[in-house]
Amino acid sequence: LNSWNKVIIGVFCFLLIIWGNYTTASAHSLLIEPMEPGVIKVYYDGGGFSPKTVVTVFNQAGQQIYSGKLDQEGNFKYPVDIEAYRIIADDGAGHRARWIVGTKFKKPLPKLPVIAVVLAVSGAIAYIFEKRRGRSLASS
Amino acid sequence: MHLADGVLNLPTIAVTGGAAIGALAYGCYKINEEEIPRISLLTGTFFAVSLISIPIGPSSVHPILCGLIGILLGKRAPIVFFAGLLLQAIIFQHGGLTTLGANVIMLTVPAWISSCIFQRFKAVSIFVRGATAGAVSVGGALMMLIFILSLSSSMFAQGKFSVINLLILAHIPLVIIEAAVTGFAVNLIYRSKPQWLNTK
Repeated sequence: LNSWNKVIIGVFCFLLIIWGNYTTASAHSLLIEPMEPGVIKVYYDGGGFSPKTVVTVFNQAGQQIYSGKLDQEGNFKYPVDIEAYRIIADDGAGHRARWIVGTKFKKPLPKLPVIAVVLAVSGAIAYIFEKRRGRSLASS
Repeated sequence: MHLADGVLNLPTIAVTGGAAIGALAYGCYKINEEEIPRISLLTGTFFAVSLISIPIGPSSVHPILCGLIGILLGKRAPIVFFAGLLLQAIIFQHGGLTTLGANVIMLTVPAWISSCIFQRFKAVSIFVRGATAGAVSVGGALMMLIFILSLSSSMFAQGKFSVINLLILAHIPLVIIEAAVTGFAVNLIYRSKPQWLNTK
């Protein structure tokens, strides 16, 4: 193996080790999932929630009409008779999610395939430029 | 350390956005072709690693590799952070587009500091220099996060169990993890591709 291959193998091994050790971890994107009328679930996209998360309900005019914290299961309940239009959840540590009442919940993309594609593309770019450099060195 | 859209106020977005554009321009200045493989590989690595979060208490932390990226790329580090964070914001909604500048600058400054530490203390072993740079980078990124959050709202600092206090506690294990990972990674690279470290 040349030194270039060793570095690439090292990087991929490192990623595999980290991934293997943290499979139970939650991720950083905050999500709002409607459960039933007047009930939403707020959680990080790998599972888990922060009890410090504050949820605020706004009407169509942008006025705050209801606010509160999550219960012990990460759910938030609000009265169904208020004219809720937009709901914002903020965990206070820089993560925030918003949901327009009545819109369909979009599940986040699966991470592993996307990560694999990004790693493959970045590896391919690195390989192409390294080859080009090798060729130009050889010709000169 | 992925600030989402809507968390920062407009002046903070403008200042951090301007600073990030400046850092990116400096990072791209006189870039040459032979640096691209390294930048590309590290962009992929940063993208993947910083999506892995470790739950600690009510919060969660994720590796950032900002020290390693700073050591390997020096002034080019903001290119990796910009590309990686932009992809994460678009694909996974991790972080936000309006806060992209803040997120980039939050990692760039510690990366540059780590690079300086690594290059300066040449009498110390490679592993110790790498580990120190890794630990300092996490501490630096955390300080930047706290500073940016404080600029936006004073509520983050209120109370004994304030967000800021919890963030500091939650990041202590990450300092140890990143120190070890950066130390070992730098050692491996020193043995296989020493020219990447500019240690001569």
